[in-house]
Amino acid sequence: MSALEFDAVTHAYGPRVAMKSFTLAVEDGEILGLLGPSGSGKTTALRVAAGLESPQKGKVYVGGKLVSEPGVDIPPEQRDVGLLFQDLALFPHLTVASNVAFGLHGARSAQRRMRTNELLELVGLSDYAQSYPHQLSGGQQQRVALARALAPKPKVLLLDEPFSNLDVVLRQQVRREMLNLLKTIGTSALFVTHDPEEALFMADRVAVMRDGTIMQTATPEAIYLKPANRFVASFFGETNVIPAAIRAGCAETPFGAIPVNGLLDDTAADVLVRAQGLLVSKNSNGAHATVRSARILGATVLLELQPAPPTGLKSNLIARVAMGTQLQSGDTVTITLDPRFAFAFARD
Amino acid sequence: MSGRPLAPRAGALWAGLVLVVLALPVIAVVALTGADTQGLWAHLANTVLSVYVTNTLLLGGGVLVLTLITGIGTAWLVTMYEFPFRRTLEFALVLPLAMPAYILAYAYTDFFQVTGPVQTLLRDLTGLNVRDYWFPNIRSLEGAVFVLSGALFPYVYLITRAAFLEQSMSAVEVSRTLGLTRAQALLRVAVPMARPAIVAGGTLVTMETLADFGAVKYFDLQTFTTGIYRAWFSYGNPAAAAQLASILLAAVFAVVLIEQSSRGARRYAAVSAQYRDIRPWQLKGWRARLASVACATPVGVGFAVPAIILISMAIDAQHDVDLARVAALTLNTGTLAAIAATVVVALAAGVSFAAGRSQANLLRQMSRVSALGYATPGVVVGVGLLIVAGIADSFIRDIAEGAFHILVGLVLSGSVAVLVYAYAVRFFAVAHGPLDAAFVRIGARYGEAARTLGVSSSTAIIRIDIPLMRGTMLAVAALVFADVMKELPATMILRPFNFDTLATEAFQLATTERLDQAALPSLAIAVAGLIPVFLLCLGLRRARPGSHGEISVRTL
Repeated sequence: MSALEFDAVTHAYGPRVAMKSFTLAVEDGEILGLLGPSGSGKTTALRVAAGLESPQKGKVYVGGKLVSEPGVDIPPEQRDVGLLFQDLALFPHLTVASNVAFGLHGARSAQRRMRTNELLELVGLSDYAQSYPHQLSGGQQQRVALARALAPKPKVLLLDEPFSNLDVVLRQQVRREMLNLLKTIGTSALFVTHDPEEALFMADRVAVMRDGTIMQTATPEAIYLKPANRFVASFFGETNVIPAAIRAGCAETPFGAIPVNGLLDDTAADVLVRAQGLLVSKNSNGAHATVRSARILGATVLLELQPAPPTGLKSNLIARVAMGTQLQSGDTVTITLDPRFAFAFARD
Repeated sequence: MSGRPLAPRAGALWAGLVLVVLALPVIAVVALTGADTQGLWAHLANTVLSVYVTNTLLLGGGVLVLTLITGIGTAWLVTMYEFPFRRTLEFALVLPLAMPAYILAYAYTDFFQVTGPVQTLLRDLTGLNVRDYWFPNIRSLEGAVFVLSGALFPYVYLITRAAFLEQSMSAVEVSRTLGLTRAQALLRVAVPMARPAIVAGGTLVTMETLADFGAVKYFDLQTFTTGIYRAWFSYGNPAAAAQLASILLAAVFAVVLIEQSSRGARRYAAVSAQYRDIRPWQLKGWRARLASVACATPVGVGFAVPAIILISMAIDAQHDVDLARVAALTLNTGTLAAIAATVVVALAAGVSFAAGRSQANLLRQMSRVSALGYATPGVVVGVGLLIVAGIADSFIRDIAEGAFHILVGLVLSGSVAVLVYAYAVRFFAVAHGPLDAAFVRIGARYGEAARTLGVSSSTAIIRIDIPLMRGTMLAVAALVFADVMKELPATMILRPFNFDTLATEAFQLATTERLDQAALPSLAIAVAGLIPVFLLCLGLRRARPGSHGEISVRTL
């Protein structure tokens, strides 16, 4: 049984279609990352799941129970979902403990207190029970919001760009903490992000969304190494586009051939190569390209390469190579492709 | 994002009904405009109508000119210069808002009359007799201009001061480097840049002048407000009263339209990325003293002098005053004002919640229209409600006597309920504007977070929005409270038999030549009037570019 399921959901704000036959399922205990550029409709999907928007078409199930279809619209308070807002939306007039206890109605006060303490302990904020949200740091506020969302034991936790308000250093740390917490509790979660690295880090499976529809859903490894289309391939970092000829099940480029699946011979095609898929070696004879710049980015060096005329390529290429490669501006190089990071697609 | 509507359909229907009911008096007045006046209209048109128009125009024009000069001048002085008592005067210039114009009228009548302190002093100094000299009569058109200007100039002062503070002073400083003197910079740079704000202040003043009833009635001036009153109560002709009221309404709404279009422009005019603190220029010697005097004079005219006059009158008349009656009246008025404030705040908050936060919502558009009730002169609201209550009463009587054979008499007319109804019509906008702004500012996310935690939308409002809006609710309740304490014309028209408030009591005592006895109730009203001034000063202190105080001048 899925914790959350969208079945061909369509939702528009007036003329603007935000979700188009959107189908996706979050399995029990799974953390699913919904990744897409801004305006792709991913936040709308979250709001539809929470019941904050009523879609025009399709069905939504939470914990196997139908919560939304045309004519049926279970209100958010009866859906058993937890929602973590981008800006947290901690109630400023309530203490940390009251914030966490907010969703625990119906229970007896002794039980509420127990559950509240349990969660505060879980997120390591027992000492701050009587503080107010504004007295806490950004990371602590994040944990209060998480505890508040988890307190009523939701069937699925929805997270809207949960780390975008934190600075880079804090983000890494909070991200790790939260992943550990979610895995400890074993909760099912759908989280929305526009940051590919975040999606790869956090998610058991990643769904890439564009213009209201899912382009591909797969494990982080599969989505990075076997992208279904150009958009997915280019969404995870910079790629080089190299025109290729398809012959005998291979895509031939000036830098060598890679095996392809599902493309007929003589199809107009491109090979998309990730920056680390261009293997560069210094060579003064029969060179493919000239190094235009070499910039150190920490663990890797970013090379800008100008292709030599025989390759027929017009625009410069980007390559990432390991530190220690002794390449300088002006060096001539030969290039080969790493087939793990090179993907052939038919030209649109 | 639109999100789901906050309130169920029933709530929206209920709120829509409230807004329609609030608009009924104005609708009634307009609807009755076409009715037959049995020749009275022709008579009025031939005789007094031109007097009404002339007097109203002269009054409006005079007050506008005087308040603009006073308001802009003092605002410029306190923001651009440093002189003795500047900080005190900066706040004191708001104090005249505590005194309704009609109270200034009573006080200055006593002050300037033949037996008053000014003329007595004049005779003592010159040895002249009463018939030997000419002295201007305060109970005249000029007197009304003087009194209304003294009471109303703070509107211009406040809005213009805010505009000067928000302006980038760079523009003024650049103009100085281009060879303008400070005075030229005021007239050629600062005032044009603040023009939308000045227009807004001026229209507020004009609206209040058109709506004034107490001061002109006391001075026996024939204007539209007194004319409406007379058409109803002296000629007993509702249709003629409604026609005069419609003309006045048209004039007021024309002014409102000017104000709103100027507000639209202000949004663009006030944008200034390069804000710099104004460093006031230190004035020295006689210039500094002149600036202090220039700012102190309007405070004296609009607040200090009348306050002293009223206090001394009250002391002089202490043996004539029935203290028990004044205490009972204060309690009476306070209770009425508290009931009205509670009702108005509850209605305004309810409508705001029902409308939700979407700007496109029909209810929100409707509530903007109903905000015009605040612009509607009290006389018009009073007359409109008499019509509405009369129709409702005859309807109730027909049903009760026809169907149940019970004699019910007049249920609504002359009841406290109708009085509260009138206050709701007049002051709904006072509460609704700030409450709605606060509600929208809180935003949907807390409510949505609450709903995902299993709380219904109405519970979310009770547990989240209302606690967060508590401060604003108290503030607007205080504003409505003070407004009801001061309200005169609608109360005079609609009050139950033998029922008085401080305002009606003071008015009757003043018009029956018992000014000294009117002093104490007038002082009580002024004290109540200090509440909004105090709130405004709190807001003023907070008012920095980009962050407006919650209580705006508009709601005073």
